[in-house]
Amino acid sequence: MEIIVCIKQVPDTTDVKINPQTNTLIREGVRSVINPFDMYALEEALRLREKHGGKTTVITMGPPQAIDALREALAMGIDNAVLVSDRAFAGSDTLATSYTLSQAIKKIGMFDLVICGKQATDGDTAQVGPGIAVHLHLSQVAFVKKIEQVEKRSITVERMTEEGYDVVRAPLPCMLTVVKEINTPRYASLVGKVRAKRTEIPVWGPKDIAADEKRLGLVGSPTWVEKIFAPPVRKGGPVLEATDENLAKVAAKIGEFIKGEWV
Amino acid sequence: MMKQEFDVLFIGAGPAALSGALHLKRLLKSRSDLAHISVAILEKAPNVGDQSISGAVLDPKALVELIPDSENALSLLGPKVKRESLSYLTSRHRIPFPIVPPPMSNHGCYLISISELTKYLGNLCAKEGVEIYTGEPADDLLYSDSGAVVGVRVKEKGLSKEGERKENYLEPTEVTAKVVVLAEGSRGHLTKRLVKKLLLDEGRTPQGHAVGIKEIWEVSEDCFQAGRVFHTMGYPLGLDNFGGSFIYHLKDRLVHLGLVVSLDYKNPRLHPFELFQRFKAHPFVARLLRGGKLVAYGARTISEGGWYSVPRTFGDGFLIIGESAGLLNSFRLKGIHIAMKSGMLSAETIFEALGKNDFSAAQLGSYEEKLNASWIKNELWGVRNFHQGYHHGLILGMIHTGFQLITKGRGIIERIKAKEDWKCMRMLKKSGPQRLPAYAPDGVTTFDKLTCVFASGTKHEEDQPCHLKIDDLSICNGRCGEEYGNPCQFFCPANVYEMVEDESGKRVLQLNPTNCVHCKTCDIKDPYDIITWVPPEGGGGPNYKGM
Repeated sequence: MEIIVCIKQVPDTTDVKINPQTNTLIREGVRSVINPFDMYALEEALRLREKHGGKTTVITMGPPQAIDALREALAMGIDNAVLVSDRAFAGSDTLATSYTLSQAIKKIGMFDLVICGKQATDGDTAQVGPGIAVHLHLSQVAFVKKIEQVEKRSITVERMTEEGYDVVRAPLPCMLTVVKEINTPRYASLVGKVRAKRTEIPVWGPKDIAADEKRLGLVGSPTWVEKIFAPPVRKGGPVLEATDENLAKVAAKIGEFIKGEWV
Repeated sequence: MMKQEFDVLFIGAGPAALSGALHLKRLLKSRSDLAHISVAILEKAPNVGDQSISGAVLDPKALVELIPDSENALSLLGPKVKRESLSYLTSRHRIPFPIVPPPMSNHGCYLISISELTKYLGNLCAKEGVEIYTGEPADDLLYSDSGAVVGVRVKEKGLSKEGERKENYLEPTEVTAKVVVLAEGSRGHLTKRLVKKLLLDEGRTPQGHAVGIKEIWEVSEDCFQAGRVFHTMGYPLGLDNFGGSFIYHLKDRLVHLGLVVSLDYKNPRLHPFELFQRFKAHPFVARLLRGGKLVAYGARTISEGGWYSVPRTFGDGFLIIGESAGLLNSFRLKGIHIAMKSGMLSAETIFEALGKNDFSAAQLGSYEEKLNASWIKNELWGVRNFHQGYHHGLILGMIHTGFQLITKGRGIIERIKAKEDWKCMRMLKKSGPQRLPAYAPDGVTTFDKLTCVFASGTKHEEDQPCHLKIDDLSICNGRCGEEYGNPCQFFCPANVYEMVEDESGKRVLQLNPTNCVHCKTCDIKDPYDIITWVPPEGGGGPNYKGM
């Protein structure tokens, strides 16, 4: 089974601070990690390889330092890595990003499965995975929480919904995005880290992936951000102490509160 | 068990190992037949510098020898010391000494953050091809049949609190190398074990330690003077306990301040953390901090024993460098430059050994010769009796120091006897009543321990076996309470040790290992010598920024 995992390097959210003036992330001095949801994608790819054989490849689009994220994936046991990096890609929105990644996947060639995390923790859009599927004309299942069965031409998965889950069978090749319920990612071993450090990772630019320059980066991104703001800080709700005596009063208060009459 | 092999392996990515690895890689480049030699560093922190903590005033001596454009590096790291003073504090006042004793003078030194320094050196190492692996604590040494050190075992991951294998369990890795260089800093847990096993400290004065507790504050513009250094003695330590404070004005309105308390103290109720908080409430310090805010907190022990406490630093297959070997000048309150130089000397030793393909004690022993012939010996020899002179209080200590200053370090008594720090503690009944009033943090300049632990960024995987191994818990819940009043709850600066009441109303010890800032005080000071610090799962521990 040939599996491609797309990952993103994001600021470590346990480490993030917001600039109160501009409402943007302070990225200076904040360390970068693999997007947590992508860790589940990597782990699932490794488990599928262990079960069905084949090869796993990880790709990311990002600045040169995103190579660290690829090294981490290699250290976990992924076979190959590709960095898609060039100034031309800077400023990509989800459309340009998914186009760029799909071109890179085309260059890799044969594959059965593309796996992504359900969304990145910095943008939270959950659009790039499905975008890749559209660009590559693949069937797709988002929010996968379990892979039930892999057959020669199809894959059966459980897709998480708000009420429970759907069982979906999709033809291969196919694109999945996974949720954190799917597995527990493994630790990278020291042996894996050594191998990762000593591996040369190819860097592909627009020419390498035969990309249409007009569809890349800022030029190829129809999204614009009009305003960034922090949502107003919400005050905690009132706390009512209920005793046997005042129960009716408290209930009435809650009723008022729900109707919005209580100020 | 997984296996990994390197040629040269350093344990701990501090200034000693980074300088050693960098110097070695450069030496290897000069020999085409040795250019393939792999040099690796294993570090327990998630990133280089995350768990490095020091004052710190840097004597640039070693950095100048190591790096060609050290001027540039130093200008990045911090300001030059501009003005300095040494004072005695009473509970309300500050009495400056008329002069700073010459060995304490910091003329030409720089105020730096050791985390920044190690990050800087780490980047240089990476460029030279040194392989640094972080989040990888070594938890034991590997020996050959003949007893030579041949590597380390990297700790497993994914064990539950009860020691069961979790779904993501990762087995340990045996890492072998031609030479293992121990550079764990003060009270290295591997070094401790090795010294004991091979009796490397035979005939030496027992190592003496201190604990340093430190905070970084962002202060208001009008309080800040870049390059200003204050050292104080006296309050709140008084005359019986040895130690002192430092206040360094670095850059960007950041002031680094801390209290260092010698761990040979006798009173089991002594509470270094609280003493530091009281120090901040002293009018002289409180004025500086007014309007400022706490940025970071940390603590670490310091090996202060000096030259006579340095163990044998070599043997079959291993070398010990930096503070792990006790190479620190406690009079000058400095060790970074010595650590760096010792690393470089280890590199030269290993370079020769690689050329001869001989890693026996006989060959590696040239490291000790190099130490003895270098300025390290010179510097440490002049202060060889300093630390032990203060065991009987400040006044006697200063008399000792005075004589040592005029007799090139010899002083009144050559080689003052000392015992291990944990043996110095007196039982409750012999140590008299507590004299200080109860401590109450104001939440503005003084805090409780948990607030400070939060500021240290400390984080551990919660579901893992406790990394503080206590030989016999019944001593803690019984004898120790009566004899010493459970001093662990006082000497631990991170609230790891807490006495709580169980269901039957009995006071019992509760461990909070996830608070641990890896300072090692408990490993050194518990009066029964029953606590052993072992590394927790890789990546856990404090997260120091700019410390």
